[in-house]
Amino acid sequence: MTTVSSKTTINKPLNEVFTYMASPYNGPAFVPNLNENTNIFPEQDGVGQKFDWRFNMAGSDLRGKAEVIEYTAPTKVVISSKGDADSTWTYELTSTDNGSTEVKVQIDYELSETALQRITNKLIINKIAQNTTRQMLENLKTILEV
Amino acid sequence: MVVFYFACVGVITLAAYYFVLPLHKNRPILVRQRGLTALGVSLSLISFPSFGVWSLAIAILIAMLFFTTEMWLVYGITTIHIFEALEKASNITRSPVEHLADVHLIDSSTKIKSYKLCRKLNLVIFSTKKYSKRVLITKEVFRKFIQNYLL
Repeated sequence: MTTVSSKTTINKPLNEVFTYMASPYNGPAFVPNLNENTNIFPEQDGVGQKFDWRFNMAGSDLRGKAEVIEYTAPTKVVISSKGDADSTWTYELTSTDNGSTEVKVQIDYELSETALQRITNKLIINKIAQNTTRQMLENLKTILEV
Repeated sequence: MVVFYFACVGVITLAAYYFVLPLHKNRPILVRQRGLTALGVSLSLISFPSFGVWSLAIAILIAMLFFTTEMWLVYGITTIHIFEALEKASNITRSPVEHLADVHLIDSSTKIKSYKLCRKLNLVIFSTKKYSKRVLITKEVFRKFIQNYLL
């Protein structure tokens, strides 16, 4: 299991950032290479919400199913995902004194053999994963800070 | 002759990547700026034995056109689907969209226009002086949503 993480501060209230981040509908907007989340059920965000995801890494499609396993509004969401890449996505949010929100994203992941065979090598994947967390937060900041 | 063979390999590789791969997955074809330039230049170089120096001139013209105008070639979905994808992308990225006569203005800075070449073949043209960060994200999500359609 490999872990990558990134942190940033978004100049928006905690609740607004949490509501946007926790919804799987918004995933493709801020997660680079995440093409789509489909079959999201139930529509209401919370523990037990499930969805299918399709990720694109170096031109190769990775697919799987995800489930929200922890949902503590408005501070923490943990999503467990199984498929071509098994991973756990943790979003932790805290409010700062000036009303901004500090966001930490952590991804713990493991790639299955078949996926590894299809995609180049582990070092490159680690780099992509680290870039993903960093880029995710940059995108979130751009989208939310109007 | 070497250039000709390299161009042939280039066209085959690019065609496989841009056309065969998405069609195999039942997804629309979307060729962006760099892909269009590479394809255009390779095709012009292939025609070198038939058209001689004219093919080189055409290659340079194509490269110049594609580098100065940002465009995407989209095959497999209709214009309605393209703008549906744009609408969804702008909503999800919170980018304001203005619908002008036949142009869509994103984030008050980037114009997007689609030209229907035939039933399911469209040329999407972007015009802006400089992309804002928000427009870059919207553009990327727009691409994802186009490629999410199933044929």
